Amino acid sequence: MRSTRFALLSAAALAVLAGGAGRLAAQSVGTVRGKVVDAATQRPLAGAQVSVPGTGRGALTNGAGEYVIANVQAGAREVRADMLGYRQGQQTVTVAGGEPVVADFALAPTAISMNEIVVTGTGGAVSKRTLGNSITKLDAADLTQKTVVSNVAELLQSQAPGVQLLVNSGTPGAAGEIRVRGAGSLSVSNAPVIYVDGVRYNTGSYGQFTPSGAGNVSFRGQTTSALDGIDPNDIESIEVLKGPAAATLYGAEAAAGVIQIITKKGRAGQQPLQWNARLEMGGNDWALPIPNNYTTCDVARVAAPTTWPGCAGKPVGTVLVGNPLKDDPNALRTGAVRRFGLQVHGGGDNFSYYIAGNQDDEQGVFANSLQYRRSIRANFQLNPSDKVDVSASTNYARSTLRLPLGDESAEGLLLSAFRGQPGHTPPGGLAIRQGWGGTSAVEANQYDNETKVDRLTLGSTLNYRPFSWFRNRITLGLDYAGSFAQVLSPPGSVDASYAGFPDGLVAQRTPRNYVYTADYSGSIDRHLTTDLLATTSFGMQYVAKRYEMLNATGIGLAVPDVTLITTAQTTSGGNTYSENKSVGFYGQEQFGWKDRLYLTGALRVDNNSSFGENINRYLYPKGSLAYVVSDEPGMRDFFASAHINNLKLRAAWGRAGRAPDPYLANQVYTVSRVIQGTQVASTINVRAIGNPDLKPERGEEIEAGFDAGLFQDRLGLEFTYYRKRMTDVLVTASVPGSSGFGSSFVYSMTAPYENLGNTLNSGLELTLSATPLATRNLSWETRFNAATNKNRLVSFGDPARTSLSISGQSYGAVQQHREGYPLGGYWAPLPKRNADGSLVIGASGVAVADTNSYIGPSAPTRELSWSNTVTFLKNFRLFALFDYKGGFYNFNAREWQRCRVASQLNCERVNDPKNVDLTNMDLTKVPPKNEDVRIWRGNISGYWIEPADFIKFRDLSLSYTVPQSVLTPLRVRSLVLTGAAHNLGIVWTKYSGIDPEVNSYGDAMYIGGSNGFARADVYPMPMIRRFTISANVSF
Amino acid sequence: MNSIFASRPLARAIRLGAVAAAVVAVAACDKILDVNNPGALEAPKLNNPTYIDLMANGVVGEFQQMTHWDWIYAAKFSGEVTNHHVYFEEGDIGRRDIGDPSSNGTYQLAVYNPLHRVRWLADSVTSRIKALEGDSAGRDLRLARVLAYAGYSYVYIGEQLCASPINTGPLKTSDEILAMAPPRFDEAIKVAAAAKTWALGQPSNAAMQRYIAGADSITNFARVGAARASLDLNKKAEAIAYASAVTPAWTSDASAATRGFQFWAPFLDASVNNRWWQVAAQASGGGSREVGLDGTMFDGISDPRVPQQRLTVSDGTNGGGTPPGVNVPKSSEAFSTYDGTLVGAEITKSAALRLASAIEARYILAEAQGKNAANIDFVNNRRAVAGMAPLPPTVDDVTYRNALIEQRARELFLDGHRLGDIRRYKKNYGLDFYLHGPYPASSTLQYGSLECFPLTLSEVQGNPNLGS
Repeated sequence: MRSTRFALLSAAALAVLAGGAGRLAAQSVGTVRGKVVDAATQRPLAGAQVSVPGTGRGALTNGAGEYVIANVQAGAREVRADMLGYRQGQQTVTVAGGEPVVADFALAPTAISMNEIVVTGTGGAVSKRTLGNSITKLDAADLTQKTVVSNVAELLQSQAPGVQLLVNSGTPGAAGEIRVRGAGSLSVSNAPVIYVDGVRYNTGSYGQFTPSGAGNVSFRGQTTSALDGIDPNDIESIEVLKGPAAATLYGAEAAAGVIQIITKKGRAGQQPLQWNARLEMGGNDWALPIPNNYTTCDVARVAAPTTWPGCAGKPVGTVLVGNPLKDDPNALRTGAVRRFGLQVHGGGDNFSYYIAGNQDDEQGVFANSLQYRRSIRANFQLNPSDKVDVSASTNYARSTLRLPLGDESAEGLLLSAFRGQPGHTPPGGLAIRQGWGGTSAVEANQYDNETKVDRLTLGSTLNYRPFSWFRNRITLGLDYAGSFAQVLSPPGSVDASYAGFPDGLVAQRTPRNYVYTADYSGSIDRHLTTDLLATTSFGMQYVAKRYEMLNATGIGLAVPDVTLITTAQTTSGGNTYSENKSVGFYGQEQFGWKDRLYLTGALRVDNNSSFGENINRYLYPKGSLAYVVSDEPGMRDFFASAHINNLKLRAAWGRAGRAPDPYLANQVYTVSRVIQGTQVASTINVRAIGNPDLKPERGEEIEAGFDAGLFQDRLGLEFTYYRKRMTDVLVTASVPGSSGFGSSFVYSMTAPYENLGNTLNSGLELTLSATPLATRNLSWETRFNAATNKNRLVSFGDPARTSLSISGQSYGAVQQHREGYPLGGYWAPLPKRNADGSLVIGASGVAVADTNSYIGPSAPTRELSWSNTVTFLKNFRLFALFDYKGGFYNFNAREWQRCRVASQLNCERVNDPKNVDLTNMDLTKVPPKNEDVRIWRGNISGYWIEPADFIKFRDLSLSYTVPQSVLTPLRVRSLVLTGAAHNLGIVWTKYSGIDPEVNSYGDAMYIGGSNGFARADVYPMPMIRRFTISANVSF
Repeated sequence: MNSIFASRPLARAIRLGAVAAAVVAVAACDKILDVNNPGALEAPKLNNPTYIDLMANGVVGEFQQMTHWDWIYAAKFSGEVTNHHVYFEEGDIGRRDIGDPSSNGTYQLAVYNPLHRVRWLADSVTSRIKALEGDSAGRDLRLARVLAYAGYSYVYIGEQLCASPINTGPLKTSDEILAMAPPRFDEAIKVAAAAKTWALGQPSNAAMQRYIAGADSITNFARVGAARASLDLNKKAEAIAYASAVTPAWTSDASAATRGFQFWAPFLDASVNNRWWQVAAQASGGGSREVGLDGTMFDGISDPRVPQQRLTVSDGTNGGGTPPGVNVPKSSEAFSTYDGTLVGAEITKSAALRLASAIEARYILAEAQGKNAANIDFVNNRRAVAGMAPLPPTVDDVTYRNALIEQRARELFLDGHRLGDIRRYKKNYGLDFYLHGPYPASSTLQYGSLECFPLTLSEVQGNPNLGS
């Protein structure tokens, strides 16, 4: 009986729910209305939550900062106004039947809010002051107003210390990789789990074909993220629980952190229908420098006019320069960005709603690069009584994604662009390839790789508070994503020819992903003494995931216009299926003393279908302490003298897990075939040896820090130190062949895993936020985030193994997991040197060291971001964000190839007269002027693994709020005009490539088994610049 | 304001709903973590009699798949062919220099693991059939077939591997492993006999006749295997007993119809094709491998049993065209496409491979019995195929033995016997047929010193009984 407790808890909860329903007597009611503004600038605050505690009544302010709360019980009522980044406003009004009572608020900006409400996994939201762990809450609604983000990952970019976004490509729709407090797993995902309004959200790939040409080549390249199914404009806030200490209650899948996305909702209370429309137009362009291609007309080339017509008649030493991306008008474009949104929200006595429709169209800089998303969100809330509220959310998104022929693709356009040789006969003798190294833009633009996605997320939450001391919450949800991916390579197309199917190919996939969530949590408060409050929380969580995919391929298309697979000369098909279920129960006890000292202990027990049959449960304990020391009466004077008005000390310890992938634990057999005479018959053969003792990886984390508010909370400081150790890390085990379960060329066995490894992440996180200026006409808010991460593999747990090469690397195995070093660190041979430091020169150039040297981490170890919001002349707001990533390396494999490969030699370094004698490019005959040229020309991959530290100007926006005096005659509540740009440029970098943060391999979580570690800058699309102007209008 | 819970019928309905939900939750708890895996069978599900056919087929399929890969690399290792593949692991196998333990992935995937896969599966299926059928398993021809293949898997491991653990146990010597084969063959013969007896008691029809023929075939297959293991173990009396019982025996009539008993592993182009095709027949046609006959033994021999074709153009990488050239093997007698000519037929994707035969039993007799008139006649008969002069009746023992060894090498060319044979010759007769000195496919490399396949690195690292 794996889940008896689940059943009992559910029964108890439902029985309490059924039996405890009370009645409300009809009472005299009135209306509260008012306006919420920024205390300093008097700017209306849209989206502030105004509520009447204890009544379930509340409202959101509109674009003009106004709100109305109807049907408030008569009498003296406290009214609160809350908004992220502002101190809570409170006032007491006397509500009477008839005339509305006015309660206006002028909220003071605060750099830190102890009383912020967050989601932690227990029943109901809790105040941040009670938590012993850090938790970052982002005001997504504000961020989407002042930046031009396309997806959730970009919302997280440089906003939360410890949350790392490894972007891979500037191609719209290409997925980045989110890591929280570093990577700890070698074999399972290092991505955090994500919940949207309490419903577990699939963040895997949409199942697209990678842009590697001809479709069935799918072992590398950019992937997509199902996280893109959410429109950022529908998000109210994002909360990040960063590690096991905070995420214990999420159990066996939360060791890499938990991200809670809370979407926008209405607030109950009689209020007029509010319309909000958003129109955004702009473009995407290639803003970074594009390296030129060079050809030196040496003696040999001048003498070969057929092969090198550009050198014919030129003096020896002439350098030809070309740049096909710039020269060919078919190559680059400014892709259009068009976004429209219409939001409606409002409410009545017992209900509220938020309905939004969004259309986001974004084109990349290549002709066949685009991402379209149309989504509809409908969030409803029903508040039948003070004790009950029910919410239902529905989100449907239809996306279309076209990936260009690029990134890590042999026939990719960027590869072709950077391998072009000016003056050379075009590849294949085709005029359209003039200047290109292979595929021309005209050819690449015919590439057709399209994925259509239908995404439906349903969720419903019932909150029931039968007594003031007893809270219950039940959430049920479904997240469905169904895709149709197709790559079409017509007969004779360049990608079809490259892939060996000159007669054309069409391939299709229809992946379907289902995630079901059932979640119950309850909390009971008890005052053990006047000063001591005990809160008991308990609950269960059930998540079921199912993945199905059909795929089919047709090779040999008679004519380009007939593309049904069934019409192809050869057809094949297959399907994939996997399923996983998990259930967990938890109990937590929290003691709060005098509302300033909180001691919390919790235990979660999990079971998961992917555990081995000998593992029936896994326990995750946690403990934390939070102490708001500034509230200690005896110390108030001291803190006041130090201008510290809030100070919370906190420490937490906890464990969480990372479950194995489905089926890894099971010893399984599969069906194959045998020849009997001239017939084929079926067989049963071994497929996987399994591991009955397979259990989840165990993350154990300790964190400690403080939150402080100084100078009347105009300066906020959050500091955290963490140390996260992963043990029982899943490592592929050596399978002795004599077991009978070894792989053969014919029968590929699923690799068995054992819980052997041990990894460690530690670091510091700091957020400093301040409001140095706050006057009516000028205010300045600034926020500085800093995070460090020291990541290392402590042990494989297998004495026979000291290193493990990262799978999926196509340009030399330059990355390894090694004990004592960062996961996926760069290891490569460097030039061999003499005792005096000079290069050892052999017959074929620079000698290369026999062994690999450690070069550095592949993921940033230091991150800083600095954002500023300046409000001036009351109606203008300027926002700017800079970020820095450092302490890591990237493999500049593009230049490594351009400077080295004899058939190219088109990089600037080896064609620069100051470096080489250009009369003859043969280094064995003419020594170079610059000794480094020997390294550039040598096959020395280690040299090209370069420090990739950079500072980027990430966001800039200027907003203008049109004065109310102008709008009122037009019956418009508010109008905000914004001009914004994203990825404006690189301010500074150590890296010699185009963009230090890109990765050709993409988010190759499971592709090639690299688990996202493989990183190289070969020919990926750099980050493109996005710029828009927008109008945001409320009626 | 009225609460929806003020409605008594609604409140009652909610209570009933809660109770119903609780009952459903309790009833479902056992199944809450059950998942489907349509791509695989979990081990407990094999305890089902309806799967016996599939499991027995699995053993046969594993053996078929093992043979062509294993024979290729055993041929390279023993010098029947010379590797011309550019991949260093292939060359290392050809040079008998793959390390001990070996981290050579090609060897692991093509030889070591496949041998143990079929051995383990055969033993495992044997146990399952016995457990599922109880006493009736003793007359189930499927069990006999599985037992026979199990016996052959031990013969191959014993002949080719220097030593090996069994089921991740401690290391066993070749002889210890070879000794595990005859009991399985004996049991296969016993079960096949019982199956035949049972079938003879049934009404005769075409299916039953095939069943009886199958029992005879398995019996002879097991007899040849048992004779082979016994000869390897230098137990000549047992070898003679098993080999003598093979029927129909080989006769001197060279026609295909009277070649006696033969047992084949079939292949089919469109489904499971014979890997030898890619190795040999495609040598100059874009295949990934180029092989040639080892010049020391067979090059230039005018014997249709070792057909070959000398390449007259370079293979681009490792010689060919100019002397010494590359010789591409054609279908030898152990391949169903054998046509008995000097140039020979191509090895095709569908070429079946001969696993056991009456002529092999005859060679075992000739070696185990030693020189006698009948055996001299046999050797002379085979020498005549190659146009060689007969041995005189007064031939001495050494000449007879050497002539027998040479004819056996030609007769059983490329069919997985050579490595076991040359190990046996060295162990029993002190004869060294391993190749030494410069490696033909390289101007710098020499042959290595391995005489049998070593353990793999993953075996050493992953087997708790070996240590690392």
